[in-house]
Amino acid sequence: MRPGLKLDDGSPLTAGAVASALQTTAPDLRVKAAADDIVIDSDSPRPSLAAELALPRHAIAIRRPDGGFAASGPFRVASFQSGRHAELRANDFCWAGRPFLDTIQIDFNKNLREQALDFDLGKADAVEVSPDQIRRLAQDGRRVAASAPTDLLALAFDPHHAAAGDARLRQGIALAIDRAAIQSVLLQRQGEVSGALLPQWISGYAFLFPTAVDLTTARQLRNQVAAFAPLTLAYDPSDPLSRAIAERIAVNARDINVTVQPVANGTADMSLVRVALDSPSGAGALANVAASLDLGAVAAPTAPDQLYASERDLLAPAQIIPLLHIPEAFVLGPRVRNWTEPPAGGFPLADVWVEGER
Amino acid sequence: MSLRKKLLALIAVTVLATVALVGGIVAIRARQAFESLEDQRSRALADQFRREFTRRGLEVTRQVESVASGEVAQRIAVAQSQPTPDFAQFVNEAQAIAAAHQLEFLEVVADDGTLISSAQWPARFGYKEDWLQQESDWTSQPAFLRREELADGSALALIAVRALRLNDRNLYIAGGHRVGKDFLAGLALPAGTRALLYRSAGPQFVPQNLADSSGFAAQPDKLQPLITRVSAHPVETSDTIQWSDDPASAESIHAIPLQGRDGSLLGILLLASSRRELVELIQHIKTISLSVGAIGIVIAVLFSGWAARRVTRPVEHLAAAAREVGAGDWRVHVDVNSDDEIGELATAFNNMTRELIEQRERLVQSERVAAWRELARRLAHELKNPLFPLQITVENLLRAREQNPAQFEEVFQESTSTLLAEISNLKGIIGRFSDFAKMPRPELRGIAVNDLARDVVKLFQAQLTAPGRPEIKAALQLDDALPAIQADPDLLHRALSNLVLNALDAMPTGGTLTVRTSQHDGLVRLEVGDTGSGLTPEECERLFTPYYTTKQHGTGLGLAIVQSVVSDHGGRISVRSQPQQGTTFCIDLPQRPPAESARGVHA
Repeated sequence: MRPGLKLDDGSPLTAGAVASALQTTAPDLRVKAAADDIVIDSDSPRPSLAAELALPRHAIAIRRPDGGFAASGPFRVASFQSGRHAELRANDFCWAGRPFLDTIQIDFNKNLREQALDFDLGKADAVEVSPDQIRRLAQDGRRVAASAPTDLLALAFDPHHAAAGDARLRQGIALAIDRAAIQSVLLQRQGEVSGALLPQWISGYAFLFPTAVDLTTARQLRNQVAAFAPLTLAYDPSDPLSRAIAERIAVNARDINVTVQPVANGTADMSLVRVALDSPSGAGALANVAASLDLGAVAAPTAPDQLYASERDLLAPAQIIPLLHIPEAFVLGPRVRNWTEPPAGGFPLADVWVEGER
Repeated sequence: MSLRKKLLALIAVTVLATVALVGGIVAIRARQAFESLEDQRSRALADQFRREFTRRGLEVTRQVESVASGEVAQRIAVAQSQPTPDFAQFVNEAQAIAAAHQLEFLEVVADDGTLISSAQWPARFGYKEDWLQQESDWTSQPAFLRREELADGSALALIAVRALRLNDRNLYIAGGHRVGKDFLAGLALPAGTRALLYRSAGPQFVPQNLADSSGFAAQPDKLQPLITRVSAHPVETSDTIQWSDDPASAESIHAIPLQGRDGSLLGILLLASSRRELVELIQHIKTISLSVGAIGIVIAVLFSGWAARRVTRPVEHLAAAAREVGAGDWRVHVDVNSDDEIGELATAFNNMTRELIEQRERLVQSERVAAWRELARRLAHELKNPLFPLQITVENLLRAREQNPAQFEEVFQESTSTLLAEISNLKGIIGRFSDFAKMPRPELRGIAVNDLARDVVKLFQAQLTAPGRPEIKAALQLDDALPAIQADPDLLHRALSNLVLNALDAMPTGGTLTVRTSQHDGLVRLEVGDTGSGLTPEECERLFTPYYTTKQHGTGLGLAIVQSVVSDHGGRISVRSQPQQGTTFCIDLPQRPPAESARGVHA
C-alpha cells in the first residue's frame, strides 16, 4: 500500500480495512494484511487479478460510525438520493492530489430528452447521449466524447420462461437478426456488430462468432420447434434507441414466422440488455458480463484460447444473443476541459476542470 | 250439420279467405315495394361509397404529391443519387413527414425497392417493396386499395404512389390513409343504415377482421356465410341477416368486394340497412288484416245467420210439414212467402198434401161404400138363411091349420120351436154385429204373454184332441225371457183365441198349431201358425177387411176384431202365408202402448 493513504474523512486507510473489504467482495481469494502490505493467495493462476480488483464491485469503502461511507477516491459523496441525485465533493486527502472540481452535481434517471434539454438550457455541463445521436451532434458542431465500443447490447432470454425454452428457437432468432441494419441505421453507424460478449478490441477473436443473417438455417431451426405462444421482448422505455432496436428485432423474427411483441420493461420472455464491461481486461470484462447477466461463474482464463473457450461456453445455450458493442458517449459543454474518455468508458472526473467565467 | 250452419261456415270462410287474400296480396306488394326501395337505397349507398372512395383517393394523391415535391424528399433523392447512398440518416423522416401531411401511412422507397423510411412501421427499414417497381409510371395513377403490413398485423389502406426521379433513379413515395372505422365513420349514411368493413385475410373467416365505425362488430358469425360467399366469388351480393329472435332486428346487407390493383380481394364493405320499417309495416298489415278479418267474421256470422234464417226458414217449415205428413196429419199447410224456388217447393208441397187428402177421402169414400155393400151383402146373406126357415115354418103352419087341423097342434109345437130357434139365430147374428160395433177400449195391466198363450192353448186343448177329428198337435215355443207388457188381458185373450180358432179351421185334416213368443226390436212378438192349405196373396190383402171371410159360415169379423185389439194396444198384425204350407199371423206389441191407445194403465 502507498504510505500515508487517507480516507476522505482524513482517517488513515489501513491494510486490515482493505483486506477485510476485499475478502468480502472476493470470497474465492484469501486476503490478509501484513503490516502495510496486502497479501492475496489464490488456488489457481489469476493473471487478470489486478484488472478484476480494479472493477467497481471491488471498490473499497469504509463504513463510518455515522452510517456513511468513507473512501480514498478523488471525490467523496456529500449527499446521495438513490435513483435521483448525488453530490460529490473534492477529497482533500486523495493520494493523487485534490481534483480540480470542488463539487459535482449528478442527476440520475433522466431520460435522454431531459438531459438534452438541461444541456441546452445550460443546467448541465456534460450529459449522456445515445450512440445514434453522436453523428448528428457532431454534424451540429457539438463536443462529443465517446468511448470505444464497450457496452454490450444483447438479447437476454429469461430462463424461467418456457416460451423460449427451446435452444433451437433462440438460435433461430439469433440467426434472423440483422445486426448490420441495426448498426448502420438505428445506431447511425456507431458501435460495432458483434456476436461475442467481448468486443473485438478487447478479445481479438470476436470475429469468430457469426453475425451474418442466415434466414434459411433460422427457418429450419424454427420449424423444428413445436407451436409456441408469441414472445415478448422487454426494452427500456426511457431509451428510444432501445425501443427501435426491439421493434427491429420483432421485424426480423417475423421473417422466420416468430411473433415477438416488444413491451416496455416488465416481465418478458426476453429483454434487451446493455451491460457495461467496466474493464479493459478480457478476463475482467468477461467475468463482469457473466456476473451481470447471471451466466454463472467463469473459470479464470490464463490464455486467450481459454478466454475464447469460456466465452463460447457461455454463449452455447443461446441464452444470451450478443448484438452490438456500443460506445458510451457524452456531449460536453463549452467550459468543460480535459475530458478524456477512458477506453472502457466511465467518468474521467478526476482530471476534468471547468473554465470559469471571465 | 244443418243447412244454416253450413251456410254460416261457408260465408265465414269466404269472408276470412277474402280478407286473408287481400292482406296477403297487400303484404306481398308492400314487401316487393320495400325490397325495391331497399335495393335502390343499397345502390345509392354503394354509389356514395364509391364517390367517397374516389374523393378520398384524390385527397391522398394530392397529399402524396405534396410530399414528393417537398424538401425532405428532394434531399433523400439527392442522397440516393450519390455513388454510395447513406439512407440511415433518413430512417425517421417518414414519420415526421406523415405527421406534417396528416398521412397515416407513408413509406419512402429507394430505386431498388429498399425501404428507406416507414411511418407506419419504422422498424421495417431495409426491407424490399418490389411492387413499386412493377409500375413504370406512377405519375397519373389514381389511389388504390392495398393491404399494408403493420407491426401488429395488417390494415386496409387507400394508397397513392408518386415517384421522384433524379439522375435516372426513382424515389418512391407511397402514402395513404387507413380504410377502417374512421373511414366508415366518415361516410354520411342515412338513418337506419350502417357500414361494416371486413378485412380479407384469406379463405378462412376471421371474426376479428370485421368492424363497424365503432371498431367493433357484434355477432360476426352471422355475417360469415355472406362474407364467405363474397370471398369465393367477389361480386356485389345482398342478403338478409336477422340478429335476434325479433324479426325487426333484421337488416338487409349489401356486400361490396374491395379489390386491389391486381384484382385480389382485400376486403368487403357491408352496407347494412335496417328492415325494421318493413317488418313493422308487414306487422301493421297483419294486424289490420286480422282486425278486418275478425270484424268480417262477426259481420259474416250476423249476416249469414240472418241470410241463412231467411233461406232455411221456409225449408224448415217444409221439413216440419213433411214430418207432420209422415205422422199422418195430411192437413198441414205451408205458407208461401216468396216466388223463388223455395216458394215453388212450398206450393208443390201444399198441392201434394191437398192431393193426398183428396185421394184419401176418395179412397175412404170408396172403401166406405164397399164396406156398406159388403155389410149389406153379409147382412142379407146372414139374415136370408134364418128367414127362409121362418118362411117355410110359417107356411107349414098355415098349411097344417088349413089341411090337417088334427095335427096342427103337433105341427104348431114343432113350428114354434123352429121359429124360436131361428129367431134366436137372428139375435145371435145381430149380437155379433153389435159386439163388433161396440169394441171396448183396452183396460191395461201388466200381463205375461207366455201365460196368456198357455191359457189359450189349454182352452182349445179339448178340441185339438176331440175323438173322431183328425189330430192337431199344439207346439208352444215360448221365450222365457219375455218381459211383461201393459195390455188388456181379456181383449188380448179374445184376439189370440180368434187366431187359434182360425188356425184350427184351416186344418180340417189335422196338422200342427204353433204358438211362438219372442222379442224383436223392443217389441214382444206373438205368432200363431198353422199347417193348413194357406192363403193366396189376394186373400192376404183383404184378410183384415171387416166382413170378409174365406169360410163358408164366417162373419168376417174375427180378424177385424183381432186387428182392432192389436191396434188399440199400439201394435201391428201381419200375415205370411204360402199355399199348401200354412199361414202364420204375427202380432208385435210394445211393452207399453202409446197413451192415446189405451184407456188406462194398471200395474
